[in-house]
Formats: sequence, structure tokens, C-alpha cells
Amino acid sequence: MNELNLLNVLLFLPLLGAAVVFVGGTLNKKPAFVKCLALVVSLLPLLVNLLMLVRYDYLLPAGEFQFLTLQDWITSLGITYTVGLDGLSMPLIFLTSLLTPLVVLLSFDEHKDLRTYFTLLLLLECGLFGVFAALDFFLFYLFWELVLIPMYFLILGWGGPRRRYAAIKFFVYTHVASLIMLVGIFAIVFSAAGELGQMSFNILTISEYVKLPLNLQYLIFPALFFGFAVKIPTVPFHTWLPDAHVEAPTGGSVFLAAVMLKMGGYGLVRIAFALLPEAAVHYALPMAILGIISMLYGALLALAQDDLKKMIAYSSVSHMGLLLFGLAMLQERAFNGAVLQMFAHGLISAMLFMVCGILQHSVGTRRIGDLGGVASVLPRLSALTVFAFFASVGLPGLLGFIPELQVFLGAFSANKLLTVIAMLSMIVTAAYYLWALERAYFGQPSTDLIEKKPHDLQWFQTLPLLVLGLLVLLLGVYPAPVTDMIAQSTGYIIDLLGGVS
Amino acid sequence: MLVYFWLIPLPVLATLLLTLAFGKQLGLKSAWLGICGTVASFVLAVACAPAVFGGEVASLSFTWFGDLQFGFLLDKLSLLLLLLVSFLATLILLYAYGYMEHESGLLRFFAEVQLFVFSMLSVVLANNLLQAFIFWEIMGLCSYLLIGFWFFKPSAAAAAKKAFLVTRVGDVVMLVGIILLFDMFGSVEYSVMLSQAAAGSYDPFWLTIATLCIFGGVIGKSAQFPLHVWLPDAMEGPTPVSALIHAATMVKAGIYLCARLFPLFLLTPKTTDFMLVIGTVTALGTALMAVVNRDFKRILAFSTLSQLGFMVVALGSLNYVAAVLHLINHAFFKALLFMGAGSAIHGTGTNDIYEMGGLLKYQKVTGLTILCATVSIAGLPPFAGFWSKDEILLAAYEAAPPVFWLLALTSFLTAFYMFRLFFVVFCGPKRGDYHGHESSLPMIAPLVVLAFFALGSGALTKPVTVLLTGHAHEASTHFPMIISIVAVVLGIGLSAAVYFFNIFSAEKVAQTCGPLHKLLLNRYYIDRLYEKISYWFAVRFAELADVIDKYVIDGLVNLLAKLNIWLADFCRWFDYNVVDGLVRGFCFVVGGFGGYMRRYASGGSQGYLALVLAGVFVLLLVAIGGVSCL
Repeated sequence: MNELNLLNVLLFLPLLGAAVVFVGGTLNKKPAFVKCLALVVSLLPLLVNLLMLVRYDYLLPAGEFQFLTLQDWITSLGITYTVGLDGLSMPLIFLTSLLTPLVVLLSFDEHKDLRTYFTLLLLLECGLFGVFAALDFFLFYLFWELVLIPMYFLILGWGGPRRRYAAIKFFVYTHVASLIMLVGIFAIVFSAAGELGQMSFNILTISEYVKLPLNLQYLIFPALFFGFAVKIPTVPFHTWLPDAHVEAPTGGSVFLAAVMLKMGGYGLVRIAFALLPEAAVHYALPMAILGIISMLYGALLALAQDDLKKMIAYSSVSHMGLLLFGLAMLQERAFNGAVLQMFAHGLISAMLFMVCGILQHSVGTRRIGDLGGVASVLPRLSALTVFAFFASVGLPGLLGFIPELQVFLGAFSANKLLTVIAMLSMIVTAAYYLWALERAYFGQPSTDLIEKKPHDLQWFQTLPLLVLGLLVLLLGVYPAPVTDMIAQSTGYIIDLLGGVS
Repeated sequence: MLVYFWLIPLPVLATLLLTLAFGKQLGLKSAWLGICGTVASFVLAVACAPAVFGGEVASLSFTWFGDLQFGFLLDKLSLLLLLLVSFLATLILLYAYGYMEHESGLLRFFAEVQLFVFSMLSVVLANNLLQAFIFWEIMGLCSYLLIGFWFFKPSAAAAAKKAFLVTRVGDVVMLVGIILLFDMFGSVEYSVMLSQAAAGSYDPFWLTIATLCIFGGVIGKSAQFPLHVWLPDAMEGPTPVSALIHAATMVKAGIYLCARLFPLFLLTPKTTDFMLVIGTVTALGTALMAVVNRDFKRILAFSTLSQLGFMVVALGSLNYVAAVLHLINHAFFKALLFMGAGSAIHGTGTNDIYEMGGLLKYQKVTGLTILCATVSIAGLPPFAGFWSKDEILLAAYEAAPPVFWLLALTSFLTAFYMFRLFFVVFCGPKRGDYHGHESSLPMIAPLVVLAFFALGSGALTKPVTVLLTGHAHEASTHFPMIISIVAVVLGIGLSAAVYFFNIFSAEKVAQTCGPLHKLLLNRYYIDRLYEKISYWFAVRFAELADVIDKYVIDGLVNLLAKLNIWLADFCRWFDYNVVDGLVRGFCFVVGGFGGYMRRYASGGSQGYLALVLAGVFVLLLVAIGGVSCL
């Protein structure tokens, strides 16, 4: 292992970047300088990540990790520093590294304490990288909790009027979930220790050598599931999300929806499904039903909202329902579709929250009732909004359609009735987006709106949207690069689940 | 040449990208860019014609992702449609060049039209159902965007939403069908499905469900009852869009798809029976609505619905060739009618036919070309519409006589309302306050070209039949044809009597059949019913969910939080009063005792001495007592 492992570089670059931005921002308080510094610093991990994508090996067999580093850490407890990537984590890592510079760009019109704001963003990026790369329970939990802290302060410091309530709710709710998950993790580690003869927190070791007894699996799975379900979030553990989203600043919302929710799905696949496959099969039906409820109920709630951002937040609940449903159908195609949904929803929801935030900044409100005729006043923003909305609707040709297709195509062979019920959400989804477009963007603009002469998109807002839009379009037309990567790595988990295909 | 058949849609894609890049500078000239693209597609299609019509089939397939395929198929049927679409798109773009002269947002308009043409060509060229569905949905998007082209008009915005959502219902049903077929055959490639079905490896029950679901998509996109409600409202879009998307091409995609999958429908008689019913209901029901409407474009829209109903009946009576023939003829005369309508509306500034009148004086070319289309759609022999309608009536007569009689009635109504339209708009006195003038050349030229086709495309009947089936179709009986001619003549006669010679007044008839008239004007209240249902669903039901979410689910969460706070408060109280209370109580006791005891430690030596003496005294007493006891 003489060669430098790029993953380690990637992992700690944002941490270093956060320090650089903090110190730089303290030394030179000029906003322009802080912005440029943050942009440059946030671009570095993306470059490293692109280099990793080039070196990524598509032919490695399932279950093998790339960019693997295995280092003893606290030997007496069996805690190691183990990081590695496969097709499950790579898309999410890429998502994180791509979104950070885009969010930094988008935040160029932020005024309040830029130094701390960007530092927190970079810390968040570090935590997210860690969650997706860690292959050791201790490390995983460490990063898992690390993510909470910057987000808490982002909501508290830069949020809307009810930010205190939202921030505390967000922190406490997800933290309680994390603790219950931790109990589950300890249960796995200690029972594994009995089998291994020594303590080990290493996920690779445990998954390779340990087979947990059935009744224990049945006990542990709900604990883990609760921890992840809150993050996903699944109905009925979703109510922290709308509050957090509505109050969070745009950059925070983008990270929250695009990446942080994926921690739940990722954990569910990587830990709950992979280590407790029998329990996953055992609890598959309730999970599928929860997924369907999330899809339909979330969509229905989105229909009822008057706040665009809240509508989009509930649409996330609905779209993450597809993730849970796809996973729980235990069918290869649906499973891969569900995993792809994490990536697709990441790109699309980032766009959604961006256009919504820009609207708020330029018009001063996101209440549908107060809007109307925005398209006449802000044509470019509205065009991109229509694009983002249709991507989220699942229009074929855009990335949102591919996971939907995969999940439904696969799930249908497993359970026809449930699939058809789940597909009803496609109609409701189209309904709330189109209704919102009609009321908020089309029609005659009020004189108020015209007199306000709001800014249409500025370059630092257009650029992130275009980058995301282009990706959504290109991968929607030709999704093979991502789907191949995912299919290559989920194979071993699906085999564990009994290889229903 | 045939090797490159998959290139056919690409010129349109290329010009679409060019329009997006340079549309701002080009403005109205983007139309010419679009025309270049469609002409190139048309030329490519023509170049493929000799080989394909000679019997060759070209197909190409490659992996899309995973095990899903992406591919193209060019055979006689798809080539016919490709020729039709690219030809009509060219004419309509030319027309739009004139029509959209004074509009803004041209980049958007032409880009969306070209995206539409590209997707329509791709639907036709697809070799599997999934790919067809993908472009089918993109067509739906284009339709949405173009209906809402004047998005600042609330009615246009509402119509666009309605169109997308109503067709979305059908599309989801269709996707279920596609997934079901995929599940049955392991592929949705046409050739694979058809060969497996022909080999008999299928479950009849599930195949029936699947074809019903596919037909569900057709009901949405081809606007059949009960999802027909979006098409009349779609007339909010610019007229070239109505002509291209909502008359000539997109609404036909459903018919095309059924023709493509026809062998599957042949295996599922229940589905085709259902199609017969739906087609008949649509044809008759919408023709009735056309009779009472006053809006030029909406009358044409109802007529489109009715004619699509005819095509569905043809499919349901197992004669897909008749459906394709009518599809082609209808594309010509209905595109012509819409463009003529646009010209008339342009000239008069109103959509209401009763505000036009006597327009023939000002718009000779428009009027005469519309007359050509009218005789054709009415089904007057020997013009185009007559031939294909005759085929359909014959097929219906052989399949189900009641359907035939209802369609004959519809034929009568068609002739009646089309000539009503013509007489009211172009003949009689000038009713409205307009300065009539003929439209510009780019708008007129396509009309003249189409007029030839509207009159003469009946000549295609035999060649196309031979092309698709290999032999000419010989009518076993001429009875339906005679009935049809009688119905048409009666219709025209009645129309002329009422609207040309004014023998009796239409208003009186309307008054005597008051309730029926009202029912038809209100479109059988179906739209209103849907609005009510969707209102209940979207507003009431969603609000209910919102309340549950806020007060039950989130209420529970907040209650938990509150309980926690109460618990914490209780703990504080307990800690202060009980735990700390004990400590303080102890201190109190000790302190109190100390305070009490302090009295005896006053520091004065007399007091201490007295206490010592008292102690000695007590001890003495005890000692004495002890000794005496001993």
C-alpha cells in the first residue's frame, strides 16, 4: 500500500478545507475573498472524486471494495479505520462532492457570517463522505453523528423564523433515532464478538465471518430500521423533515434533501439488509407497505401545501417511499432501482430546493397563494423550475423516470397488487407539481410582483442548475454508467436476501 | 439506404438543438430551421420507401442499460406514419411562420414543436413498447407546454394542466400494461411479443388485462370516452399546435400503437369488444356536442374526438387497415380544417362562428379549401373521407350491426355539423364586426396543398390496403355504403335547410329540446363531475391528510417532546424537593439541633460550672442508687 489512497485524501480534504476557510475568513473578512476561497476549496474534493471515477474499476466482483484502507486503530476494542467504496457508495459520494461547490456557488448572495457558513458546509461534506465511506461501525457512527452538528447550526444560524423549534426538533429526533440504531449496532458487535472470539467493529469482518442467529436478527433489525427510517424519512417518522426544510437556508435544504436523507437508505442497505438478511426478508412486507404509505400519503400531503418548499419537502417523503418500497420487494431490478433512486432524487431534489430558494430570495415569498404569474416576470427561473418539476414527476428522458421504471418493473413480478397501488402515486405526483405550476408560475402576475422587478437568475444561480439539469438529462437518456455501477455491487446483498430475481 | 433508416428523426433533433442555440437571434426564422429538419426527415423517409414498400423490414437494436433494449423498426406501417408526420409537420411549420408572426416567445414555440415532431417520429420508429412509451410521454410534455403557450392566460394554464393530468391517468394504466407484458414475455419488443403470442405461450386472462391496460393509454392519448375531456380544452393552444398535435399526429399515436400490437388484440376478443363500445360511445357522444357548440376550434375538436371514435371502432371490429386509412385521411382534412380555422380566426378576431358569417367574400382561398375538407370529412363520395369511413362502417356492420347503425347516425351528424360550420362561417350575411382579409401566403399555401390531399387521398385506399395486408379488400355487401351515403346526403340537406336556406330556425329547435340542448352544451356535465371529484380529492382529502399529519402524527411527536419536558420538569421538582430536600432536611435537622444545643454552649463559665455540678449530682445519684441496690 505504497500508493496514496485517494479516498483518504477525499475524506479529509473538506476538513482541511474547513480549517482553511475559517482561518482565511478570519484573516480577510472581505466577502468576495471568502466566497472565492470557499469555492476553490470545495472544488478540490470534486476534482479528486472525478479522478477516482476515472480509476473506478467496473469489473470488480460484487462485494469487493475499491480504494480500501484497513488500519488498526483501537486494537483492544477491535476498532479499525476501514474505508472503501463500491457501486453503492460511489454515486452518493459523487453526489456529495458535486453538490458542495454548487451549493457554495448558490450561496454567493448570502450575507450573514460567510466564514462560519462555508466552514459548516465543508464540515458537513466531511461527515457525509465519512458516512458513505466508513466500513467500521465505530467510524460509521462517528461520522453519522458528525453530520448532525453542522446541520443543526446551519438551521439555527441561517434559518427562517421558526428555526429554533425546527433545529431542536431535527437534532433531537434524529439523535434519538441514532441512539436506538447504536443499540442495534452494539447488539451486532457484541454477539459477533462471541462468535469471533474477539471484539471487532469492522463491518467487513463481521459480514464475512459472522452469521447472527435468527431470533437475534429479528430483534436487532427493528432497532436499526428505526434509526434509518427516521433519516429516510418514512411515514410516520417524517415530521421533522418539513419543519427542518422550511426553516433551513437553501444550501442546508439542498444538503438535507439531496444527501442526508440518503444516509438512511444507504445504512438500510449497507448494514440492515447486508448484515441481517433473514430479518430483512422477515420484515419485507411491513416495510413495503410503509413504503407505499409514504409514497401516497406524502404525495397527498404535498398536494395540500401552500408553501412551495414544504410541498417539495413532502415530495421527498413520497419519493423516498419509492426507495423503501423498491428495497422491500427483494427483487433484483427493484432493488437496484431503489438504490438508483437515492442518486436520482439527490440530483433532482437539489434542483428543486435551489429553484425554490432562488424564488424566495428574488420575490420574497414562496407561498403559492401570494404568487401567480411568476413565469411572466422570471422567465428563465420558471423554465428551469418546469424542468426540475418534470424531472421529479418522472418524465421519461430524465433521470427521475429510470428508478421508477426499474422499481415498478421489478416489483411487479414480486407482487402485482402492491405495485399497481404504488403506481397510483405517479398520478398524484404529477397533480401537485402541475397544480403548483398553474397557481404559482402561470396566470397573470399581480401588479405587486411586477412593481417589485425581481431579479431573474444570476450566473451563480444558473450555473449550478444547469450542471444538475444536464446531468439529469444525460443520465436520463443513457443511465448505464450509474446503473452498471450499482448493479455490479448490489449483487452480493441480493444473493444474501435469497436471490429472488 | 435502408441501413441508415434510424437517422430519420435525427434531423429534427439537430434543428431543435440549433433552434435552442440560435433561436433568440433567428426569431421567426426558426420556422425555416424547423422546416429544414422536417424536410430532411421526409426525404430520408422517402429514400427508404422503395425498399420498405418492396417488403423489406429494417430493424436495429442495442442495449440501453441493464437488460433493457433500445431499438428501431421500420416496416410498411411505420414508414407510412413517418411520411405522414414529417410531411404534415413541414406544412404546419410553414403555416406557423405566418400565423405566429406577431407573437413573442417564438424560440420556445418552435423548440417545443420540434421536440414534439422528434418524439412523434421516435414513437413511430420504436421497436419496443417501452421506448414508444418514453417518447409518448415526451409528446405529452410538449402537448402540455404548447397548450399552455400563452401561460399568462389562466384558461390556457388550466387547460394545459388538465390535458397532462387526464392523459397521465391513461399513461399510468398503460405503463401497468407494458410492465405486465414485460412480465409475461420477458421483453416488450414488438417482434418478440408477437412471435411468442403467435406461438401460444401466454395466459389469455393476463393478456386480456394487458391489452386492456394498453388500450387505457390509448383512451387517454387518443381522447376516448371517459378521458376525452382534455381535448376540447386543449384548443387554448395556438392553432398550429391544434392542427399538428391535437388533430393530425399525437392523438393518432394511440391508434398507431394498437395497429402495431394488432395481433395481440386479435387474441383478446374481450378487449376488442370493449373498444367497440368505447369507440361508438365516443363517436356518437362527441358528434352530438359538436352540433350545439359555437366555438370554431372546439367544434373541430369534438369532431376530432368523434373521428377518433370511428378509428377505435375500426380497431374493435378487427380491421386495423381501415383505422390506418382513416387515420391518414383524417390527418389531412383535419389539419386543413384547423389551419383554415386559424386563418378565419386571424381574419375576424373571434372564435365564435356566429360572429363571423359571410367570410367567403373576404377569404376565398380559406373558404374554398375548408369546403374541400368539409366535403371530405362529411363523407361525400368520392372524396377521401368517404372511402375510409366506408371501410369502417363495413367492418362495424360485419362485427356488430347496432354499432353500425349508431355510426351511421354519427355520419349523419358529422355531415350536419360540418356543413353547419361552413354555412354559418362562410355564407350568409356578415354578422360580426370584423375587417376581413385573406391571410398571408405562408398560411394559405399549406391550405391549398392539403386541399388536394383532403379531396384525393381516397385514392390511397387500395394501395395502402394492398401494402398492409397483401391483397385488396373486397366488400361483401354494399348495404353499409348505401346507408352511409343516404345519411350524409340527409345531413347536408338538413344543414342546408337550416343554416343556408333558413327554412326553419335552429334556435326554435334548441328551445323545444331545451334540456337536451343544455346537456350537450355542458358536455354531459362530465367535466364538471371530474372537477368536483378532483376538487374533493385534491383539496378536501389532501387537507384531511394534512390535518392528520399536523395534529396526529406530528402531534404525537410534539406530545412526546412535551412529555419529555414534563418529565424533565418533574425531575427538577423531584430533585429539588425530594433529593435535595432530603439533603436540606438533614441539614435542617442537624442545624436545628446545633442551634438548640448552642444554648448550652453560651461560653459563660458559671453556666458550664452549673452543668458540671448537675452532672456530678446525677452521677452521684446513680452511684448511690447502684450501691443501695447491691
